[in-house]
Amino acid sequence: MTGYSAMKVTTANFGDAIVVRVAGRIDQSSAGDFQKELMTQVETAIGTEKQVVVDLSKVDYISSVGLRALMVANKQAKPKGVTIRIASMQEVVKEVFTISHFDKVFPTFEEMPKALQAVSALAAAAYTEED
Amino acid sequence: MADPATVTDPASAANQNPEDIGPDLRGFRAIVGFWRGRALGLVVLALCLIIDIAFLTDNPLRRELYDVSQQLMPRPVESDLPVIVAIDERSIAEIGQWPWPRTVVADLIDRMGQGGAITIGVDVLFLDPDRQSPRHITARMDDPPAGVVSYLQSLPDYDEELAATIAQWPVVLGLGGTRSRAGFNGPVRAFPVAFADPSLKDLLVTFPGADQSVEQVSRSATGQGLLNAIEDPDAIIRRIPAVALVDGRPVPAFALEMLRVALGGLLTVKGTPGRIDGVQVGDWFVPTESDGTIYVPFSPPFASRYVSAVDVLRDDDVALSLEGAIAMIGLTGQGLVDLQTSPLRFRAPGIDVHAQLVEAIHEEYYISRPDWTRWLELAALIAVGLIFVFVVPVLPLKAGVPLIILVLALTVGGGLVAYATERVFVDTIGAAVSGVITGIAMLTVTLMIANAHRKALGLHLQRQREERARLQGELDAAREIQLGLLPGLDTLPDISAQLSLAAMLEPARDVGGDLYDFFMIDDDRLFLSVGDVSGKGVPASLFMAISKALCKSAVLRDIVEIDEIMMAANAEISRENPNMLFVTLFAGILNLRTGHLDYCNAGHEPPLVFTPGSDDIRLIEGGGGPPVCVMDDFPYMADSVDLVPGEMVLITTDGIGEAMNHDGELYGNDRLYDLVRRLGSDAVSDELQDTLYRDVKVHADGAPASDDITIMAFRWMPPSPNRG
Repeated sequence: MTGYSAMKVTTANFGDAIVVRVAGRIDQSSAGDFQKELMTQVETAIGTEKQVVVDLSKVDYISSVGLRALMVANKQAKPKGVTIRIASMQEVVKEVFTISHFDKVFPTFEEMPKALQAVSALAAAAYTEED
Repeated sequence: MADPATVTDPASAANQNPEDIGPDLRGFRAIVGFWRGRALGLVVLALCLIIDIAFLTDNPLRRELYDVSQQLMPRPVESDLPVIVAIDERSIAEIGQWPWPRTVVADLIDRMGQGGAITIGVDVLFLDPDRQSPRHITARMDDPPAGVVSYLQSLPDYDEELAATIAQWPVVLGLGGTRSRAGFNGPVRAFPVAFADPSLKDLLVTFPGADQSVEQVSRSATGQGLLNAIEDPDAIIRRIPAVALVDGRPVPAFALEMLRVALGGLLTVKGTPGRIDGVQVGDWFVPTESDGTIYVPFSPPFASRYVSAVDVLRDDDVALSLEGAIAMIGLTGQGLVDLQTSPLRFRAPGIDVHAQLVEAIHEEYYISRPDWTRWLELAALIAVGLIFVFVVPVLPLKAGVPLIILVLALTVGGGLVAYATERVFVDTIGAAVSGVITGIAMLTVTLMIANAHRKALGLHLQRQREERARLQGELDAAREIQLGLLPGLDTLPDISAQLSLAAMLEPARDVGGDLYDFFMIDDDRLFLSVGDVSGKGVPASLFMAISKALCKSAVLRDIVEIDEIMMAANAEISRENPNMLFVTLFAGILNLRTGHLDYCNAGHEPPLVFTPGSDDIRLIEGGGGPPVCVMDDFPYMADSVDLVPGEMVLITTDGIGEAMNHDGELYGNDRLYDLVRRLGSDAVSDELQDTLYRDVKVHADGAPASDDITIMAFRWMPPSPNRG
């Protein structure tokens, strides 16, 4: 256990994209919450035929438990036609994705608009408007 | 290689807070715990309050406190004004058996009047006509001669003589209120008593009837005063009604009537509806309780208050000493009078009580118990109770009893101080007693809670110990699974000419799911793998076991290409993954003859390749995919590297790179690279493994490892040509 770790998850809708914004460390102590929120959004996305974009721009660390949360969510999402897209990773997080080859499991994007563009023009437009 | 001592840490386990039951629950328990004891205390306090209000308006303890107050602070004798002319034993011895002929009493009154007494009180009831009077003597004769009868009839009647004398002086006769309407010589005459408010009359103490002296005598007196005191259950005289309602008429107390006769005029009962304030006699105001009674402030026995009746009759000096005095005749001789007990616990004839009241009024020395004292008492009761309810539980237990004694002393002391300074009687006994009851209840409850708490704590600790033991058992099992599956070097044939191989795994305290494996596929090819399951504990170690077994079974099913092995393993392990775990796995097949390494890396840290003694470090990158089980149909790609003779390969898990010291500083790749670069050119795998392990431990500096540490190192040498 790494003790108390501040992590916050917020969600927002842009067109047919559900954006899950995570801030803080995704580690042993916070991965549970992260997974729960992510699963909720995946279920929503499945029900509403939307796509999920995870914004990791404010995440400075992700442990293997965090990766597992993504994996669990992906196993739920993928057969139902929902793709989880990962965007705006910091270098440390990107390295973890590279080493673990999770970048081969999830489509990753340098910037949020590109991730939304990949979802749909509608989502990208909504995002640009909001931003 | 795993040191069991590093796995368990009983010291730190014992240091865990036994109260660690989660913040929410703790808060709730704290609230319940706070009120559990205090609620009971409040109930006890409320009961005390109800009992006090409902049943204890008058009680023995209160009377006792009143008496103690008086005993501690009796009224000092300052006045020599009232004088009791005592019909004592000496008077009886010298003058004759009581009752005396009323002419003698008349003589006594005369002597007192001539001596200058301003009021003469007579605390003697002449209930029947004087049978010693000559007129009545003939009634007792069988056949009296006619001359005797007419002679005796011509003599003055004694009652007439007494009445004549009484009429001559300012005399106040006694009147005894009775519990029945029928009394001697009624009805009660009208007294000059006025009321500030007519309703005040209803507040007075009442007597249905009265005993009075024969009408002839009583009619001649200037005044008549009530001799009764308030009857407390213990027969101790404490109060006298200043004015009482006797036979429907307001009658002043004997002492007040003497005062009224001395001062002349009217006696007015003052007050506001529902409450009597006192009695006004001339310009003299005598405060009373709201029911018109007066607490008699007793002095200690005072002998010079008395003069003997015989001395008054025979000694002019004694008679003259009554000058200006409110003097009263009373019976003191043994057998003539019922002695009364005062709060000071001495027994005195009834006349003494009246004399004392006259003295007190003259000195304006009053004891009062205003209505507000009752509210003060109840407030004190509540306050003292609340102190105990809220203070006892937070104090150390042994402070409880001293606190109770202290508060008790302060409460009773406060009452005594009020008496000493203001002569206001406040019954602090009620507050003190209910305080003690509440205090003892709180002490008991606090003690019980403390005991229960201690017991619960013991139970909790016991459960924790059991839980720890259980967990430890699981961890032991997990570690056994994990370590038991790892191959030993002795399972390999002698390949030391081509390969120096070292492998170690040290489980972290809560056991990660690291694994390594190696075995010969055939004479030339060595399968090796290092993996890390994303999880901890028994599930991780079981998953690790399954992964290792399925991997091996894929290899042994003659699947020869490493990427196919990986894909087969991925497919099979994914089917056996209820906990949704994944495992990073580096797997390779090393051809010992050629140094060709085919590998597939499923999300594992890239191994290092280097030649000891040189600075050049390469990573074995590429060729693979995500960790096993992340995607069950992932098309893993193989890659290969050809080792240069003497090159060393180091495969670790993140237990190395992420080993943390107490400051949270990671071991990191830089340290790893530095260490690798420092190796001598002739380094063997064992040496690398040992120095790396030690360096990591030195860095951690005793901080417990959060993840398993796995190190696999091998150095390949080509087979010597002569062995071919």
